[in-house]
Amino acid sequence: MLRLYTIIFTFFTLVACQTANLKQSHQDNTALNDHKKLVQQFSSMGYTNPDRNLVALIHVCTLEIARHQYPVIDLRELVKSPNSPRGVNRIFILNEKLEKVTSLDYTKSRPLLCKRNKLHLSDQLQLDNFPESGNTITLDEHGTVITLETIESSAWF
Amino acid sequence: MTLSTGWKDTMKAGLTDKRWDEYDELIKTQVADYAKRFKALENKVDWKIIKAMVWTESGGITSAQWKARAMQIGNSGDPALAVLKEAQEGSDLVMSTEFKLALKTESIEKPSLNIKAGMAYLYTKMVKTLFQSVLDTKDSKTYDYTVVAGDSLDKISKKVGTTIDELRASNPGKTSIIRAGQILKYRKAAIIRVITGWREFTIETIADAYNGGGDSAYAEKLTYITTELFPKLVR
Repeated sequence: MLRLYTIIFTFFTLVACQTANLKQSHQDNTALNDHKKLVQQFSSMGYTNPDRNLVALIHVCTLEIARHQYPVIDLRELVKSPNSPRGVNRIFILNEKLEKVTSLDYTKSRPLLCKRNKLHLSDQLQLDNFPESGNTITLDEHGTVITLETIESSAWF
Repeated sequence: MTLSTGWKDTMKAGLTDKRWDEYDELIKTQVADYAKRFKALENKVDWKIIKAMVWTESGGITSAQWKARAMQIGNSGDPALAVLKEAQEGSDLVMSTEFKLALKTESIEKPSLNIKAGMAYLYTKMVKTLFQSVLDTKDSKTYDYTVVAGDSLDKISKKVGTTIDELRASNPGKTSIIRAGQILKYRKAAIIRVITGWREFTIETIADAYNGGGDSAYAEKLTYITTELFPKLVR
């Protein structure tokens, strides 16, 4: 009898946890569709810099890797300066709780399109420790960039 | 894109005013110093593009920046100064010893240091680097290591001060599976960042590298100054 109670208790605990996770995930994901909330989220996480002007903060698409979702955010800021402000442009890859998994600096290669674990970019990106530039990055299940390659846009789909 | 008349007029003031040449010698000396330290850069960098950057970044001699942050290094929220001070992105490989010392002891508001910092940041953005296994040049001895139960190449490399790449290179065909009691040869080595080349120093690549895409007219501004104004300077 005790065993039965234990099984029932475990079952309901798991269901409750799963429901809480889904609720949390839903709450987090609402920020992706609400620009104001996304700005607040990025500010509170310290991802944006108050000494810079925010130019763009956009949820571009969502990568799907090993059944998990990784929203891709395009963040563009300008250093406050009287002449030709420097751009600080970054691609953020977040987890389902909208916490940063990876961020990549870029100049012109804006994120455009997610296809499973591939992120296609508008221009050639150069990354530390990758000998060649590329317009497509592939990520592993930890959100780490594993390849940077050039793929013709006609082959993205 | 068309450059604004106001901006053009500001820059045109440099046509007949010799004070706009104040930093020429500094820029030339710096370009020559980089070329001396990195042979691949000999005759590859046009100092006049950097002069045009100083005009663009500072806003010219009537701007307060001309006598302070002439290359806008050290502006609040700008990552460039931290890149240099914290030796990020390979900047430690690019900066001279003298400049590293000056960066610690002098004010970034000093225009000559600011220009040197701007150039160091530019060259850092233009260098290509990779992390590679590099042998310890101070220790050419080959060592033996006897594998114990539970070892992996990663554990061994950390234990004895070498790298997985070096263990593989010194023991060809013997590292795919390792067994307790097996003897592996190795030299001391470390994974460090090394320079593998340089991007071409064109107006477009310089604009991208230095301005980071912030000012979409940046390359056009440099082109205007170097091709429209510099040939017409009256001195």
